[in-house]
Amino acid sequence: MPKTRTIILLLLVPLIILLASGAVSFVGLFDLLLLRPILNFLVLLSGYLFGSFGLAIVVLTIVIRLVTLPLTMRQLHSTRAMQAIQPKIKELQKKYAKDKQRLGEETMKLYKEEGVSPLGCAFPMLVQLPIWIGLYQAVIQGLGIAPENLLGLSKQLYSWAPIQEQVPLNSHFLWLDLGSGDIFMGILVAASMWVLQKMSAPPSADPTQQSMSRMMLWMMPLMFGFFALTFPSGLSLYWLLTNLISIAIQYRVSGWGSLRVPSLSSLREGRILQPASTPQSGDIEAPQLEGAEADSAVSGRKGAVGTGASSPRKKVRSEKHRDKRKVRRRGR
Amino acid sequence: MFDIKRVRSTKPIVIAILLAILALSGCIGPRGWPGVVAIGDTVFVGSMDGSLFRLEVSARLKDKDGDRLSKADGEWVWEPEAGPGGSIFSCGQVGQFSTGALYGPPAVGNATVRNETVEAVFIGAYTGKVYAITQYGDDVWDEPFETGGSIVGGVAVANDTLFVGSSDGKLYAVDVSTGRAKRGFDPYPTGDKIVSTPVVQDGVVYFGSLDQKFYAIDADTGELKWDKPFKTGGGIGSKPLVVNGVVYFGSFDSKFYAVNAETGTQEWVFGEAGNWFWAQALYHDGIIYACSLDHNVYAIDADGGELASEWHTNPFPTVGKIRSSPAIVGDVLVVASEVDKEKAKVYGIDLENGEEKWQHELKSSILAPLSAAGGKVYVNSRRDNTVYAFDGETGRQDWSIPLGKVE
Repeated sequence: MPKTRTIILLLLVPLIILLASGAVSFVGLFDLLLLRPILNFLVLLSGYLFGSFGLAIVVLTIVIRLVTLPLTMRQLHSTRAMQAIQPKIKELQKKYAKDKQRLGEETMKLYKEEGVSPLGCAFPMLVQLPIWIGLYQAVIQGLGIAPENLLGLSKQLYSWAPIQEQVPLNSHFLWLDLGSGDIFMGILVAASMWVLQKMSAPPSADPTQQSMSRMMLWMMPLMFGFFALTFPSGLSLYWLLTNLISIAIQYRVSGWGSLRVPSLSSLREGRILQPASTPQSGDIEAPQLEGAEADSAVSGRKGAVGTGASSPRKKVRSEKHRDKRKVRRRGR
Repeated sequence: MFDIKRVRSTKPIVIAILLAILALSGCIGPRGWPGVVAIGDTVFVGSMDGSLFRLEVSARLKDKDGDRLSKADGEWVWEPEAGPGGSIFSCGQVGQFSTGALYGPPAVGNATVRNETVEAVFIGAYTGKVYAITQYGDDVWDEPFETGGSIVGGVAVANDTLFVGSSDGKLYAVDVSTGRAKRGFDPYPTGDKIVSTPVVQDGVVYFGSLDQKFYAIDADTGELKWDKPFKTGGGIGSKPLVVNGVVYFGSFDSKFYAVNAETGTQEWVFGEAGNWFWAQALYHDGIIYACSLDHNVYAIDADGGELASEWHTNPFPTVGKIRSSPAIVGDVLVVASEVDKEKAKVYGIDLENGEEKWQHELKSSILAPLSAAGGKVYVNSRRDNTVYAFDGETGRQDWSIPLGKVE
């Protein structure tokens, strides 16, 4: 961790000096470090991919996902660790319900002891934001959507012949005009987001979490679907591919999750629980199950983690089911 | 204290805010670079809100009140119909922020209204519509002519026909009397958007397309005049210049071409520039003056394509990118160059030797072509939506008028 901080400081200090001295503006710095590399990479790629800007976005998305894979995995571990210590946090909340300051201190102490960073889950999302903005502007400027963008493109492109020769870029990909919003793309983004949310939602018996889960299961896809309708579909293409790759990673790590069609036996055994909360795309979270119940309920999922005490109510219900089955078998 | 539940519940809000930032971060939107054209003492100029103004220079100078905000005799303001509304997220699509941004300069010609020939001004809007306005500020046509895409270049008028390129990649011919598509002339398709202003000469329409090709088509039949379009290595956005049977134009491949107007074969190519050519070139006394986005003005021998000896084979360096087409006033070449997004410099360059005669700084970017008439040069600046009149010889500012404040 100290090493990471040193690296971040080493990167940030010169940037702050440059900004403070007025040598570069924030926009200029953004263009230099993010927009221009993304844009030129896309333009160069499209040259090698039959002049297709859409294919270039596909390849760029895969590259970005590969580059951010360590972050995604780190987020996975952070989320898992955070889930694992939830029972301990609940205990602390009960113990120090009347002393907020002490609760805060003890919680931070617990995070330190367990090696958990509360911001570990949010960091990958924040890292993706500049990439979104960079790609968004790259699509807008690259395709010269407004005449001002086309004229401004000359400023952003490197003067290498293989890049310059690609202008103007082909804005058509499959059925899409990459510079305009697309209704079908909106539906695809929303659907893939829903699948991802459903897959990554950990089961829970907590009614508050269930209601939050239901809200987010629909809110996130609808929100992204709306943005995909109105944003240039080049950016929606990036979102769709990101979702599909996230679904693949999610499947690889923890199976179909809450999306799994419940088997008859599992229904009989009462092992299906409601999703608890819906993480953002790319989040890979462990179910919020506890103890033996958790192990049983997530038997089909790989890498699921559950700790702490089990719910007595559910245990009783499960035992009742078992007793009924025994009675039926005897009857036969 | 950190609470994972709280973080999850606020996540959609955070993402919504981030997406809103994302949406607004890149939304430059089509704002326009309306042009100006001067015919004698009359100036037609577009404003940033899509209106068109007729200004009378002599009336303004006679009143010794060039900067007046009230309309002088003979002046009018024409406003287009409201265009479609747009979402703030639909960057670049028609209707965003503006009801009908203007890009190309207006063109002046004649139109027949009720069997009477009248002077008319023609202008294309980003909404894809072309308008014809009488000298009194009234619409000539019942309905504007509509193309299949946005109009970014100017229009050309010759022999009762108006030619305009559109972002749908087609060149349209319009009967100026009726405002309808010209009979026997099918819209000519190209492989990409047309943003350059066409030029009509001797019954041939010359124009470039972003499909990297340059076209010469018959003004009557709409058929390609050459065996095939002339291919360059980049998109073509500049208005061509036709002189002595040769067509001159620049391309996004940073090269400047001279092509035989009759055959479509290359006469020469100039390849010393370091960036695109966007502005129209000018011709004076055997020399072509071509401005590049590499900040330089090149004086090129019209016959051989080499840098002219009159300028000691050197380009004239300016402070920034030259996006607007220059103008010639007497023996002065007037060029507008971009200092940054908020400032521009206007240079007066001696055509004889390439030396700077004067310069003037404006607090605005200049993208529209400059226009010259009666010893004056007219500049329509974008940021302050103001038209300036300079004396071409001295660079002294005669008057300016903020178009948005005209009563």
